[in-house]
Amino acid sequence: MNAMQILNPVAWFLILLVVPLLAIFLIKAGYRRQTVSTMLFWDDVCGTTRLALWGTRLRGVFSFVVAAVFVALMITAILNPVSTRNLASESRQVQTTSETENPITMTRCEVRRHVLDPTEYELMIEAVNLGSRQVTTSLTIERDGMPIHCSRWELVPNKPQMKFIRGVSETDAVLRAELKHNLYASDGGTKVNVAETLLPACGRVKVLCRNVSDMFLLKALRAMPLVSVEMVALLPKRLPADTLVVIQGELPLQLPEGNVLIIEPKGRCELFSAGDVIAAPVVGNVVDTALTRFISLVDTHLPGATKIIPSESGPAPETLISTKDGHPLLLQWKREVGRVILFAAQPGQGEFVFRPSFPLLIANIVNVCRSETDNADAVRFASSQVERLAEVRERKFRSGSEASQPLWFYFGWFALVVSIVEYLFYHRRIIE
Amino acid sequence: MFDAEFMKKLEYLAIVTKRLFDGRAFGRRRSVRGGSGIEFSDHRDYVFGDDLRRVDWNVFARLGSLLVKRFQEDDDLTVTFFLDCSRSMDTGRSNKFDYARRVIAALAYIVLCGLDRVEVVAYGGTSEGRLWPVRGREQISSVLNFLMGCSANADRSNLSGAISEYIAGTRRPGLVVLVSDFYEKDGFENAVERLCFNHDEPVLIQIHDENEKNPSLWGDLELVDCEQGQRRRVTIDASALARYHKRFQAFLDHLRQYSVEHGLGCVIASSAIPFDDLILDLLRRAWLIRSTRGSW
Repeated sequence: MNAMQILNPVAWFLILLVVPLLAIFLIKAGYRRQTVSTMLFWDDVCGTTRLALWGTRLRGVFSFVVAAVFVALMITAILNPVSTRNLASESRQVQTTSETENPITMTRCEVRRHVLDPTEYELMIEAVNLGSRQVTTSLTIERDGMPIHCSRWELVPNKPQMKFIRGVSETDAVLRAELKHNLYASDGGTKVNVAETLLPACGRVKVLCRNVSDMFLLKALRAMPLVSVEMVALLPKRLPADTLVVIQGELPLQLPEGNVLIIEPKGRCELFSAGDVIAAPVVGNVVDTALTRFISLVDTHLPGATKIIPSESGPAPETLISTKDGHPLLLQWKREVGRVILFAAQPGQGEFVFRPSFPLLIANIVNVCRSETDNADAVRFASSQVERLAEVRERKFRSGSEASQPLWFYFGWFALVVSIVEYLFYHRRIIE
Repeated sequence: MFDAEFMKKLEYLAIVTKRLFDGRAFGRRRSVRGGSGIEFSDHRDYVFGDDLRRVDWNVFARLGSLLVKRFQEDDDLTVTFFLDCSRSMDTGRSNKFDYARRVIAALAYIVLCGLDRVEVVAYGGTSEGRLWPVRGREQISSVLNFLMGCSANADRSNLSGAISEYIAGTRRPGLVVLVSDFYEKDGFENAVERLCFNHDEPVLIQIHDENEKNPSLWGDLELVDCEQGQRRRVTIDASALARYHKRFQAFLDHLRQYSVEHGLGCVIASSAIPFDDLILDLLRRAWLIRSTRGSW
């Protein structure tokens, strides 16, 4: 919790800066003043040259500036800690607790991107009113400090309530939700909770299609935002991380390194070989993974699916979807670089139930590739990405003022050392 | 101000003067005038009109010349104390002004016990007050009352002005005891020389605080003169303190040297010295007071 968020931070900072500086100035002025019985001897002892007087004055000004810098740094450190470690610990505490005298609190704050349209995101806010009567609150959403949403929210007692706010953003951002009540108070309301969560970045994915003739597959790929589809005849040996290769039909003997999606395979490669057509391939089992999220294909007939015989010398595949007879329909090989996903059925010949599920399957595959590009396990739920909140903040901070943090850090220490040395050598007074 | 035991000790002390002064009344001190005392002094030739009872007939019988006996006159002495009432006296851990008042009170008691007269002048920017000469041991109370009524609040110590005023109003010279710190901007020499010219016998008692001699100041300071209010920003370090100490010691040496050259009594005392030691030891060693035990 940043104390400067309570009121106008600039005013608070100035007040907190001016008060100790004024106190230091008055204390120093009173502390320096010494009454002596006569100036007869001091006039002879201390030089009265203009240079010496100016030296004394300049040192006084320097002392004051150093004290001001030191106080400012201390106040900044107290009010707005910039330590990366502190930020990380702060980011873990996504949901804050409410004030003791306030029965309203936000219990969840999560964000996820749309599966089919990754530029779109949805923020879920859950709040609960533990009081005995209904409360009118105000919910404000900020994205990277910019207010994007503000609405009134009636919270009934003792019932968790959710609110979903949608938005569009390709880039990563910090979403900040602020809940207020007592809206008609003179200070604009009492702040109840502030919660922050991370909206992960959404990168572009390049899809290279080889021998892809299925229009349903092509339309599904082209319909996805931030996906560029390109038809190629030859495949590179190595694929960039943000590239997905889609192969339909005849298989090359050597699959390229990277993310590869194989549809309706024919022939063989180093990982498997395609066999005969399966008779009556009805989906029997769907393993719940990131690739099969939101897909419901059980008891769906997928005609034209072929048998897949994994290579004995190659790595063992992970079967995600299989028929009731145990024939694999969707397999995954995880490799050192990327993964190979094999869908053994024909996209255009499935049952009606299969039609809406196939674009979801393709979107899941693309999103998995995208998340591997972003070097994270999951892209959609910010609650699992809390760790990245600190990283994003740190990156944003470094791009701004934190780039000069080491300089300020050393300058702060320098000011502290100068203040101590100056106190010991010039402001120390032995007599009472 | 003093306990009974200390006052008892004071009663056995007497003020010492290097010269003889012409007193006003009978006392215990030799007068410059020959008089009608009981102690023989010398002879002189008889002149017409002399009292025939004073003719030394034994001498006339042996030598055949008329000589008149002269006897020593015993007079009293007027001791005038000058008390510095400037603000510079009101400083120090042990207040210099209080210390000076106690010194004057003790010396005044000694003087009064010796059948001499005591006069006190408190001087500051202008002459603060004056206790006209009093005589007799019982007058110590008036001296004490006067001293208690004095305060060190003068903006400057005008020693020369006070001396001039004193000389103008006094005909008979006497012993003048100056109790001050002598931090005179124009110097104290002129005032003291005027006293000497007036045939007074000045005695200088310089009182300073130990912190004035060895100040414990350090760093960037703004010094404020307690009398004039002058301010001065200084940076005090070890070398500055050493220079100050040297300068202050030179001032004390000058005071001592000046007193020796002019044959004046001089006592330089720190207010940290116990008061008993100053009166019973320091002033006696400086030959300003002496013990009367055994002589009377």
